[in-house]
Amino acid sequence: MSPSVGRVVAAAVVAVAVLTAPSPVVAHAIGGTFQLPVPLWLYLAGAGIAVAASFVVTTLASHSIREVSSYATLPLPRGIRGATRLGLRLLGLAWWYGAIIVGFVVGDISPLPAVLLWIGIWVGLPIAAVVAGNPWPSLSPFRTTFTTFEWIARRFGADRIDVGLRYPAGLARWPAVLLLAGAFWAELILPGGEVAVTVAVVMAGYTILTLAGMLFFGQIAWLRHAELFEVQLGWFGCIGPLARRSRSAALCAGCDEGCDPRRCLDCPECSAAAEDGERAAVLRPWFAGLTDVSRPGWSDVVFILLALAGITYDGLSETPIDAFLFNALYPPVSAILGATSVTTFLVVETAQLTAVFVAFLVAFVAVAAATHALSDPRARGTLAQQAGRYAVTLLPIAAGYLIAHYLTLVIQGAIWLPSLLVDPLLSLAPQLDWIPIGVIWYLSVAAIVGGHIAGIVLAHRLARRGAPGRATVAGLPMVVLMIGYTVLSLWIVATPIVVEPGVQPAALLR
Amino acid sequence: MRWTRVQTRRLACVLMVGVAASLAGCIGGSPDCEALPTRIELTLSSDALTPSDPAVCRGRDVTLVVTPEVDGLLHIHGYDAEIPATTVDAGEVIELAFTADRGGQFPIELHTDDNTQGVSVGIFTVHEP
Repeated sequence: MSPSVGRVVAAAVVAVAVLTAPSPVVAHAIGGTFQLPVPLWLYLAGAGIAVAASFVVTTLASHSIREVSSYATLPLPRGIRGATRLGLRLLGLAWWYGAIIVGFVVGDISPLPAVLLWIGIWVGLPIAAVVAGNPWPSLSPFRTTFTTFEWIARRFGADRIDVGLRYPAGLARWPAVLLLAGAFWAELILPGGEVAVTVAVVMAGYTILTLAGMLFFGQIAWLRHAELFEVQLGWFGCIGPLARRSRSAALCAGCDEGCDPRRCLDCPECSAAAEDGERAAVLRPWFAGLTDVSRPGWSDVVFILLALAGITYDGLSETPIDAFLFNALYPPVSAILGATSVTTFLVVETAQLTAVFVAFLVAFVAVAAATHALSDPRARGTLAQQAGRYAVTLLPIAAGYLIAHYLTLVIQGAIWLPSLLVDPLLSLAPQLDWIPIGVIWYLSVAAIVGGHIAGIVLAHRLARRGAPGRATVAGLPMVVLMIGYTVLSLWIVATPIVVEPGVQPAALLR
Repeated sequence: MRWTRVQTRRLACVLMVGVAASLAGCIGGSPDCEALPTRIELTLSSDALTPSDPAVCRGRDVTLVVTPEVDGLLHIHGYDAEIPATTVDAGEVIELAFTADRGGQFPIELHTDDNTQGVSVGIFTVHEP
């Protein structure tokens, strides 16, 4: 790429960042109220740094990024591992089944099940996975429940309890994609999704579905392909500093993923199949786990893009973009279904969420196709493989926005929880005035820009592999896409709220 | 692609100018607290507040003077402790006086007989001083 082209592109991108200077929009609702938006100068600084870093990484620092797929790991002491594992298993059981029981027994007006599910599990666990490592292999109530059933069955002489159906290989992770879509719909659109009984019903239904899946298709196949939290937290856990090493050579030898028995880290199949003695948690650097993802395919691309769209939609839904979509979609739907029926609003909101997801997916696939065309045919693999590997590089950016948008909600939930456990009917959410608003601003921008830089570095590594000799050019479509998404995330947290007159508050106050 | 030293330096120059230009947006940011009135007059219809975005700085004593055109129940989400939900009657002016001691953006909601779920009529913003 010639310097003059580079200059023009750099100037254009900076201009875009400046021109999309925000007008009123919203940051996430904390128990019904909204943070002050990030000030304009901080927004511009964040966007500028993201752009500058992107160009530094892809042009100047090209040769100093080492191959890191053999990163250092630090084993954890055995005593700590065992105690943590037991503690997490008990916690997972109490948390999941406790929320269901409270929902059914205490009833409608308790916010406790919603706090446990939507704040604790749905948002809190991905953030925990990014910051501290994926807790789900031990925390999962489904694994613990199923293992307990197996133990009981063995006491009665039965060898195994699953029916033994073969999980169709072609299905890949599509069931997890469907479940993710359903979960976002329940979080963002379902009226009364925070009502205690609704939460309990959703969780109970999901428990039955998962246990049935494990019963029919076997624990390993179901967990690695179709259990929503295994897949979701598995992806976010790649960013975190914890990996599971499978230590049994026999286990890895039989593994479909073809992992190396001497270095089997976070293999999705081995870690689902390993018994306690065959698996050990190790520490590793942050982001290192994203460098050795094996065989991602189209279902992984769609899963990651859907996760990205769903996380962003919550913030987008209070911006002028949402108003624009609403005005475009409401007239045709209301003409068919009636102007004021609840179904009309549900359909329109579902269409809005779908439109955002489709826009994200189309943009990504176009960029992946362009990158594929620009890459060396001998080095690039198939489009599905390349698209899958590039989709993984979006995870740090999604994680950055997740933290920027939801961290204060998680803190609020964590503070609220002890009082809620004592009195499940306590409906006043604690205010977070003791946190200076400046801290929240800097944290949000730093998380988004930091995630962006990690994503750029990872994408550039892939470009070097797939197009040796012209990595900068081949990587350019992806860089532009990432800058676009990062500027969008910054814009969302920087714009104050506006109110469309007459709009139902439920549409605003998620 | 091989870069000459001159080309590399030019690019670095461009990048730094870009960053500096972005950071040059370092003007403005804090609102002028003296210019924001603390006695704010508002007109309330069935689905909108005029003006819909009253704003003050944190720590000020605020008085919202509301002239309602409909009957209903008005409250500010997040300031329910300072101002409990207030019944409004068409034509009767009410004054809500409180200290804005928490920063943020707080939706103002109106619940009427036709719309018991409530509708957002405006946003009350409390800026950092």
